[in-house]
Amino acid sequence: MAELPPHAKALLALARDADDPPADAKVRVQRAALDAIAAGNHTLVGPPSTSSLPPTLRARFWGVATNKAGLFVSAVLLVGSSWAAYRVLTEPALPHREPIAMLESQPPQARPLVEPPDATAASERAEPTRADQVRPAGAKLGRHATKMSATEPQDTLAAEMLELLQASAEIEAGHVHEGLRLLERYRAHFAHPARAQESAGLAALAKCQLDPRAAEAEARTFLAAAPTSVLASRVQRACELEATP
Amino acid sequence: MQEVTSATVQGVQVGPPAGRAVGVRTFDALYAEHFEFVWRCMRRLGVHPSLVEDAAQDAFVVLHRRLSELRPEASAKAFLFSVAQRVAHDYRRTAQRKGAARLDQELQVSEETGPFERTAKAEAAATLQAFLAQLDDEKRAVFVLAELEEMTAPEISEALEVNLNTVYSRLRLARQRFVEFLAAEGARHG
Repeated sequence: MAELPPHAKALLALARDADDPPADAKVRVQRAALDAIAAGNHTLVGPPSTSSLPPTLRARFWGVATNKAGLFVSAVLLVGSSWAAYRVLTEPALPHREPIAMLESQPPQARPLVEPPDATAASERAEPTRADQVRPAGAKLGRHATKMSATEPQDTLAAEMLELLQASAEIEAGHVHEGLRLLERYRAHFAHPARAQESAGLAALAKCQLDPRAAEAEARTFLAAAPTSVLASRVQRACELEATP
Repeated sequence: MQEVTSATVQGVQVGPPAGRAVGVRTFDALYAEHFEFVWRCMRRLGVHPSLVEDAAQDAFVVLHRRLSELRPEASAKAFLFSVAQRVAHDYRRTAQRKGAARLDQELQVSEETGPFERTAKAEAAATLQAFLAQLDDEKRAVFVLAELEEMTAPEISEALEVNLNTVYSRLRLARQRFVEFLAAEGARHG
């Protein structure tokens, strides 16, 4: 089976623990569930369970169920055999024949079940179309196949985010040069990045860690362009800039 | 996550009042082990965020009622998923009746802006949620269990009570749709 491409895996890896419950939910839900159980709140969704019935009722339930199943099977068999008998009695014993007059004028000819293709159709079928030549043997030309090839870009949001996260992790761990190298790689990979702002923020953050004075202008440019960015406060701290009002 | 087996919980009562242990697996052990799984399943099976807590609670009430049906050799995760699926179905209908707008009002959205990584995860989760919402129930269940919960195909087959080839077939189609969805998203944004 075809594996998911790397950018799809990257998105799943990011999203995997995003739906985890809040820390206090576990205790709260357990308490509420136990209260509901204690209150006898058993009328929730799901099919009725025979295991909750007393043994005598359970035995009776299964007895009735078995009898009903037996009746149902008998009814199906009866209807099936009646239908088969009806078909045998009403169907002609021999296959359909042409009228006698036609039989006299033309020699009898077995009628094929599938009409043979005419000459034009046969020649069309013999010569492969251009699409057939391009398409590998056995490939399906479904709606999705066309859609995939028409719109599938290599650079997706998930792939971009993954590269930026890698860079961010390196910068956070103090490997600033490696972080900057990953940001360079990001810019090389994505000609029209959707996350250019985040990339600029991370670059400013990294450079401020190396030399706050030298990177101050770049940091100010970033903060002016993206004052509400999630990276803004980190950039301000790293570059020792005053908070923007 | 380690699977709860009869060996690990047999005879061990994980802090429940007397009488709540049914069979070889106790309610509390299953709750402790699988609460997060059930919660995530609810969210991924399309339960509105404001209803996830109630849905998880109901799933465990149902679990308590049906605990004796859980065979010792069966996967508890698979069993819980089948319960969660039914509960989630019911809650989705509730959400349709109440209307998404009203539920969104009930949901207390945190205004706190987190660090870059948290934002990235939230974005990824939102993208995933949008994809899952457009999948049909059958493919969504297989995709969630295989790609997000990393369950094996036999486990999924047991959880959904479908044969193994059906699991593979649904997973293949769901993956294909996911790639198409991401491509379309990429094209829309870029």
